[in-house]
Amino acid sequence: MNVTQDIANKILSSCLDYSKLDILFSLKAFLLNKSNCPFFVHKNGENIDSLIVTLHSRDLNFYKAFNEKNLRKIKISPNSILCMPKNRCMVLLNLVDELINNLSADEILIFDNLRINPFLEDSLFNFLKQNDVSEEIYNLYLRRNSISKDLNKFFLIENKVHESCLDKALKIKLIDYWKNSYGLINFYNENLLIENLILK
Amino acid sequence: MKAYLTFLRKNELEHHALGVDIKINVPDLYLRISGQPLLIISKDNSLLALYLISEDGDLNQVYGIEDYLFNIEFIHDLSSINIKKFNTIKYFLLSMYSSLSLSEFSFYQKELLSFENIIFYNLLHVELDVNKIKSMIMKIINKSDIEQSIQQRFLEKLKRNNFINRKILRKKLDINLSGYNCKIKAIEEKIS
Repeated sequence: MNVTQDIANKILSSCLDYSKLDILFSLKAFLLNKSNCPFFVHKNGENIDSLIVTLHSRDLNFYKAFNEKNLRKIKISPNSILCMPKNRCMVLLNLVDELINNLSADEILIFDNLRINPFLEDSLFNFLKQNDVSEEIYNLYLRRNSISKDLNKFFLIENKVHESCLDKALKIKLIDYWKNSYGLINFYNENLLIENLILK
Repeated sequence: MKAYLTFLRKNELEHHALGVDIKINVPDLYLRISGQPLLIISKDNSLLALYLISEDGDLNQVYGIEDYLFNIEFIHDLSSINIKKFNTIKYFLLSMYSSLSLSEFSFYQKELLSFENIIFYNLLHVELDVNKIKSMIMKIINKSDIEQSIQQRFLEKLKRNNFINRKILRKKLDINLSGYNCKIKAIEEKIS
């Protein structure tokens, strides 16, 4: 039996009820190569501000440990997914998405991509734009979004079809610098306080 | 009609795909540097279609009048022959480049891209033990016209580097075949 089939069997035998939804979210994070990416689950009508405040209180290591622990609950090694070719990841991702949809159609999983990588799509900000959220939070993410765009312009980061190792190394360096400021919880907590003071 | 997954080998005069004996008449714009993964569809020794593979594994067709991949059952994975060398070179290059400052990346971009091309051009196609790649790269650094202080940093980085994890060494190329019905068939020996 190959690794993909083995993992698929483990998912199908252990993640068929609502209580295992967390494990499926963690699997999705790993399959999308976002194992340390902050995320939250939004139910229809739920207050978004409180979800964002919780998001701010947790650092990237929290999410990594949380996701790894969930994978180990169903005896899947995180490394086996990290080293898996994209084609096989896509097969498992389809399976995980299907199970998530069956278990909870009214819950949306939102990743804060920009906190781990300034070159990814800012899906959290896109979500905030379409929903009711406090002005302080909206402004904070608007500012972060525009800084990431400036970074792209300044270093002329284009979406090349093939990236040389030089392109990749530059991106890795910029991502590290980015994570040392916008990946940390300090940025979000401090800036929200400052914005509150200014507004009051 | 056959499909091959392989790497580009390119210098100023010519470019070809490793293990596939056909002429590739595609603008240089698409074929950036040696070591770039390519998906080629050929028939009777002529190129029918060329797909570039993005970092996420997505396919971008840049040559061919139709998407011939829909009619393909198997993709012959020639890249598996050289994948260990490819991953090792990539690992060493990323490690060396991490010693550069942000300004050096843009200031020496041309020289560094040419250096990277020379490494892939000279080492990827040859039958070579991966353990010897480090010393081969060191020789190329010494012969290169990269600035002295950067050369020193690269050599220091290489000396300190240990060998990579076996799983990473064997990691295959990412390729997203969603929507197609073809499968990838690994090839362990070179096609004559």
